[in-house]
Amino acid sequence: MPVGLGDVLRPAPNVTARIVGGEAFVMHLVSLRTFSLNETSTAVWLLADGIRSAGGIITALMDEYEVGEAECRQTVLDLLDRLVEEDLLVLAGSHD
Amino acid sequence: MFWPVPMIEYGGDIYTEFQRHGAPCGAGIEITSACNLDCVHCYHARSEGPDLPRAEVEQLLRDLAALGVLELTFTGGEPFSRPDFLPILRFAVVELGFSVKIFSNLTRISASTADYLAEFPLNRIETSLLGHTAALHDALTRRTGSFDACLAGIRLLRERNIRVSAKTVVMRPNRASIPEMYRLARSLGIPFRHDDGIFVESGGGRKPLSLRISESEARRERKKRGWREAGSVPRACNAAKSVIHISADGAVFPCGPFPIPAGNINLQSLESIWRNAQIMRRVRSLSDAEYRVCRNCRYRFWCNGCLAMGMGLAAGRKYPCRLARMRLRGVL
Repeated sequence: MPVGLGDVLRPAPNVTARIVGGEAFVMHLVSLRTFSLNETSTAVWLLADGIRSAGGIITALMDEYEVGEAECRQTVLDLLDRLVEEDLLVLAGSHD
Repeated sequence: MFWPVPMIEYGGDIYTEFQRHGAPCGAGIEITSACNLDCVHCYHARSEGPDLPRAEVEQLLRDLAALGVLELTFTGGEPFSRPDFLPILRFAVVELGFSVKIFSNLTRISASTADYLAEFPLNRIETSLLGHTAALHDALTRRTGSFDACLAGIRLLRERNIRVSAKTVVMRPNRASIPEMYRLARSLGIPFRHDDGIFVESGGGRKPLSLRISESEARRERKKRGWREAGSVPRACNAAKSVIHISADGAVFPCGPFPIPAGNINLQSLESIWRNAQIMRRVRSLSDAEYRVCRNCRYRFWCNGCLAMGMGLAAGRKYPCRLARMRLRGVL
């Protein structure tokens, strides 16, 4: 099911990340798959802290970046879906 | 601030990516210099001081994580010879999130150790099979019972779905047994690889070189395996660019086999050694173009542009190799 605005996400167990030069390198310690995230994806990754909802992440990013709400919401929700699909983030709860 | 569309990329060569940021991606740690075997080809004779105490190892691990290191290899000596290795390992994986490989002879794996190792994700454990029979393997490790213990260790780990792989160094005494070693590994359900690289001892001793197979034999074997022909021009490696190595007493090297330390974490911070040590900087700045000096070098067949191996091979004969002489002038 796609990530909703009220969903709270956190890094999955057995997933590790290193921030190098402002970019996150994420590795699944079981599958050994590695991923590199660009600057904005890294910001999303760091905000997916098990406390903020997806909506909260979008609000925080809009404060930081020059981006319209619709574009920010769409691209962030797409990214969160992908991170969940890859078993890098898991649902920690919901603010709905 | 400008909004670049969030992107995620799968795979790729993360070591190259880390190089771009000037950060190490992989680190080797000789967690102890103690070993219960006495392998004929071993090049480790390096640590001059005692093993780092656990608290210092844990601080080293924190420092490595802070530098960006993602993949950690515990080697030795024999890592499982160190009494506090298991809690250190758990700390590295569970607390700091390293992807951890262990190089071990697997002779000290009990069922309870294997149970412990199965509690957290390990990248893999790599062992050395030096022969396909106890007689051959034990002769090369110079410890009776090491073959049976290693196989028992492999089975205990595989029963718990821990990734295990094996390798061998081709030497005169075991060169005829390589096909049987592959068969043995298949029967154990583990990947196997071999290579012909034998390093000079870290103290400069050349005894391991007497075990080397002939150049013509190595050439035939490499061709059979489709390995890069030594005639091709070597390229710069990851040493000091995205790889770092620390010995059991805290000495820091550009890579595992590199014979000269760049510093010691008992005297300087790891970050300072990584960023500022002269040897690190010189090795790091080595470019592909500089390997042209290797073209007519007599040692190139064996080192294939590995600076560490080349320095060892050339030791005592107008030491060091031409590449090292050019790149490390004033440092050696």
